[in-house]
Amino acid sequence: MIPSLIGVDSAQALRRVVCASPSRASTLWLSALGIGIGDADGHRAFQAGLRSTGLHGDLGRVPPQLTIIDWSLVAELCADSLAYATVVLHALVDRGVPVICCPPDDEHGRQLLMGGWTAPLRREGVVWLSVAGEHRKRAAGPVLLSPIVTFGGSHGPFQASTVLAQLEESLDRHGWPPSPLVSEMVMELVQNTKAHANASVAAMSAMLFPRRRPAMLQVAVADDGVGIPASLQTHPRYAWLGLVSDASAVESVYAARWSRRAPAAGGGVLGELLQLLLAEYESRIVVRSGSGHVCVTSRRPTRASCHSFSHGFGTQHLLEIRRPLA
Amino acid sequence: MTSERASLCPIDSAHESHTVDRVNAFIEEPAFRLRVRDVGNSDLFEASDAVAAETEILKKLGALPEGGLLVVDFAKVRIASEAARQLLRRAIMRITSGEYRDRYVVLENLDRSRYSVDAMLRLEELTAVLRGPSGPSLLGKRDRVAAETFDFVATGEAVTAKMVMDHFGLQNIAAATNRLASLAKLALVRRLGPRALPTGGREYVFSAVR
Repeated sequence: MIPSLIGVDSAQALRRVVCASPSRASTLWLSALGIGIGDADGHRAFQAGLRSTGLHGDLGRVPPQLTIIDWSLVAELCADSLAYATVVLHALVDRGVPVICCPPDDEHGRQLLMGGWTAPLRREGVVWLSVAGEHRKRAAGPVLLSPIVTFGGSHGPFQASTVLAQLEESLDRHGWPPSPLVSEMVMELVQNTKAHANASVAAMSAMLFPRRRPAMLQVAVADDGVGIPASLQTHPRYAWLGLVSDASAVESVYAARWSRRAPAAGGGVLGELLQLLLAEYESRIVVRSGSGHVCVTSRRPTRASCHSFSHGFGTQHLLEIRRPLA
Repeated sequence: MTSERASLCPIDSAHESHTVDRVNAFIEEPAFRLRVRDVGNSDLFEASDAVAAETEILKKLGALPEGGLLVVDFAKVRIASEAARQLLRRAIMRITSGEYRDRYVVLENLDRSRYSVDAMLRLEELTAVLRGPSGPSLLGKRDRVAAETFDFVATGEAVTAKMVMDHFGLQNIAAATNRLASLAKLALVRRLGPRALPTGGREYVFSAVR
């Protein structure tokens, strides 16, 4: 089935194939994921697709025979969608599910996705359709600042110096003022993922939106681990958190600096750094873990907005930082 | 400030004061440079790397003479908070608790991990001195009084309680002494030997860790 799909003229043809045999394939319509977790409604829409993959722990569900990740209608790629898509894609392939990817319709998105820095999205077991013909023309959109990096499990260690140096160099090239706090935040997020998530794969992605006013930097780290609420509950002190929603548990980590480790044992540093970031930059931090979705902005750093979904998969962090005005 | 500096000159020159051998008499050991072990090809200094480095730091601190200063150099590494905690917490606690009395630690080249180490120290309620291009500064838990007093002490080679009292306009010498004694207890300044006052009595001289 898969080889016959290669070389189809457009994503519409693929959709017809899926519609013809809906029981055999699940489609991950990434139009919604293109919005990313920064938008709770977008994430809710994406969940419908995610549920069909069976990745969220619905063990009673028969795994799909094929999953199609469709970027064709994504208006603008963003860092969190790339990081999350990388994790979803790797998790599916590792579970033996073949994946077909449709590239975006527009020229800029295609170039961005097919470039060298998105190599983790083109691993073995993933088929990318070569969609011929005219593509939508769009003004230059966001730029990737560093390669999408996978780490954890069998994906090897996180090459901090290489990745962060590349990120800093790219930011410098785009006229972003030096911001060591951003690099350190990435380092802490990666360290936190390694220490707590118990993930088989995690991914990091960074993008700059130079056309926004002021320009915006997005850094995202996603993993397929147990999630923050489940990780917290492994400690007897927080076992009672099973009674509250995932969103409340996630909020407590960032608002009250809760950690699986007690403060005396080195916990709570990530929450501290996030508050520092909110204080120093006009920024927004979005965390989606388990079924919880929490968003904090620098305008209201002590008031998180929380949403609860029906289910979730792993953890996603998104940092959105506006360029400081001169 | 000029008058303070002028009054400092006799202290700074041992042959004139005849009371202290040398002001700012830290015995600086060669810097302890952190290196990432060649395990897993990772260049992030992790908690597992920090275990061996911590043992080395504690050994070096134990071997320091009184007034010894150990420089921990972070130039080649990026360090996350967990590793920084493993590396520094015990050493600083042993110094401030008196186990390594009159030994000092200063951190250097922390540009790429400053925020993480600062947050870690703050949560641990510890304070350390960071050596930077613009002079020493405090990292970690610091209140306004401690920070401004340290900044003042760090502007010169050495100060006395009277200088602190004059500079901050304090009501009495005891308040100034308390400020300096608190910093000395945290191993952020070193209390040097007393010197005789021309009018009789004696006073201690303090020098900032740098």
